[in-house]
Amino acid sequence: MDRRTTSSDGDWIRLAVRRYEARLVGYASHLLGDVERARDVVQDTFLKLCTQQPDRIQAHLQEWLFAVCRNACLDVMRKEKRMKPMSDALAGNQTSPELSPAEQVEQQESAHVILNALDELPHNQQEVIRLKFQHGLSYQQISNVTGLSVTNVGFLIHTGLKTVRFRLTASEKI
Amino acid sequence: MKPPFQPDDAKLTAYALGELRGADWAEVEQTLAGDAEGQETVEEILQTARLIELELKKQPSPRLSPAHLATIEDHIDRHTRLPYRQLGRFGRRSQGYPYLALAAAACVVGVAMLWLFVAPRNRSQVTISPQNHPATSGSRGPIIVPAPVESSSRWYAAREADIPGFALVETDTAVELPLDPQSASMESLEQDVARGRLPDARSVKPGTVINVLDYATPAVPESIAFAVAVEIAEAPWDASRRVARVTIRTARPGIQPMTPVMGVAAFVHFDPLRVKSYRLIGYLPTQAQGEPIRLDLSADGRCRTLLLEFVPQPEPVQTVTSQTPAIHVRMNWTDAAQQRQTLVAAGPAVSEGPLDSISPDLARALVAAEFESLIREDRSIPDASWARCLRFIELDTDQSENPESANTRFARLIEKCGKIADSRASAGPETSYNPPIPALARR
Repeated sequence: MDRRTTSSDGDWIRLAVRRYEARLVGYASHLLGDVERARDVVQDTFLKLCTQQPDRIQAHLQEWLFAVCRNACLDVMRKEKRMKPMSDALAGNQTSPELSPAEQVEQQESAHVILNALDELPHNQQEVIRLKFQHGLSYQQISNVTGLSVTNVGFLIHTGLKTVRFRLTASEKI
Repeated sequence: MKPPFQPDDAKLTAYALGELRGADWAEVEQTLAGDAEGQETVEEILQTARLIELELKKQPSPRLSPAHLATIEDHIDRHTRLPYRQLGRFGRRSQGYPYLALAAAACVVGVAMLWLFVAPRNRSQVTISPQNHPATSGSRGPIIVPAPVESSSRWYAAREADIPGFALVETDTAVELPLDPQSASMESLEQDVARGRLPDARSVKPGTVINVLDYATPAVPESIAFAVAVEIAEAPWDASRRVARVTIRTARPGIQPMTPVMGVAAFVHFDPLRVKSYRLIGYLPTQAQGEPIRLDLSADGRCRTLLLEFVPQPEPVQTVTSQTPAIHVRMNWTDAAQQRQTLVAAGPAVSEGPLDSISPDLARALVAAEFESLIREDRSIPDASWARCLRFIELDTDQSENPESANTRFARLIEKCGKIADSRASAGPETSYNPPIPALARR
């Protein structure tokens, strides 16, 4: 006998929206290069979540959300055959007001180098690095989200880090 | 003999990022011990990773618009009123029997209304009563029940001013026990301390050290996939609060027949008649020595521990007896016959005993939690609190015949942290980290 049921209330979904909304919009924005389209995709992701049974996915909710969101983004990109770069507003950064002007300039330069180096990485390296360092996913979780093997995820992160490190070192020597 | 790691070895990056476990971690650690260049590379990888993390986290996070949120909320309402999958099945079946279906629905609604308004508390008490449950009668055994017994419609709690970090039971009636062991490891903490530095606060994730110490875990009866134990005691830092340790253990191969299971999920539910708010202190899976951590909880005698702090209701409602459990644990899984199974283990009544009267297991978990808070929050812990906590480790260390026991290992880690903190304090006022860790007394 199948005892499957959906949740008797939507609290777990509301909690998931609160916890993951911003992270998913950020992730989808980077993939699509369009914040508004990203919001639509994330909304659809949560609508799909409403049809799921909590006891089946709550153990790996984060991976499920990122994977569904990613697949939806890939669908959008396939349909529209486009991949825009991130907008300037999204790629902007903030500086700490406690730093001196000289330190702020130095930090901005360092940030500029890092973000530029990241943007110049191949898309698959950018994605796994963002999942790892922006969204805090482990190699295994990234593997579950992207469908890549853990070894492949490790290699992509390693290669991406090495490239960024090389760019940083080169910029310091200039 | 294997050659030392090359700077472009992906394993070294995985090691630096705390992604290696067990034999892989030990192999890299051993190789790096005599490889200054490799250690320097690890430092560079860590530094780059921190810079990237810092910059990426500074990026603005766009959120959903109110219109998107409203659409989601509307969808939640519709789906929770008529569960999606049930609606589909019911619709198909009812094609030939529309009146029968309507009558059945009316009956269900009627019974549900009666259940909600006439005797909800009695029903819940009978179903998960501690007297009926081995988990609270000393044997700590599990019980199989046909379906979850709680209903969110009866869960409520008086609203009070929020305590920072605490969730109100009114809005969050349950916390999910994370079965995914992705977390920082004791090995990475020891690695930092061995190099003469305190662990980075960001690398100490909640619960990292809770299961480092040895604990007794509940026995798993034959043919049962899991056993659950719940312990509750007074919080050592605030007598008005309570701490709870929830332990889930799987069947151990060779002792019990293996029961393959899938889709395991575990939740801790709070009774709002007894609990006002709660917070998750931490969690970590334990594992048999030398075995790699795997996501599959069904693999063998693995254990998951969850440590919680909660605020009891000041005046329990009259219908709540002293035996009413404050919390209970629900586990769901699919067995080998593709049947959904549910296990519910009720916690014991709230203990009023002092810390010294509780299980040494729980006391050790508290020591670990205190240590983690100290590193993570860079806060001072009163000497008296530390001394009381350390006593549990000291006693166990003295009684231990194994010099490499987890307790000995943890005590050594605390000692080293104290020395590093002392040396930093004497170097100047730049560091804000100066915990009052007393040296362990040796007999």
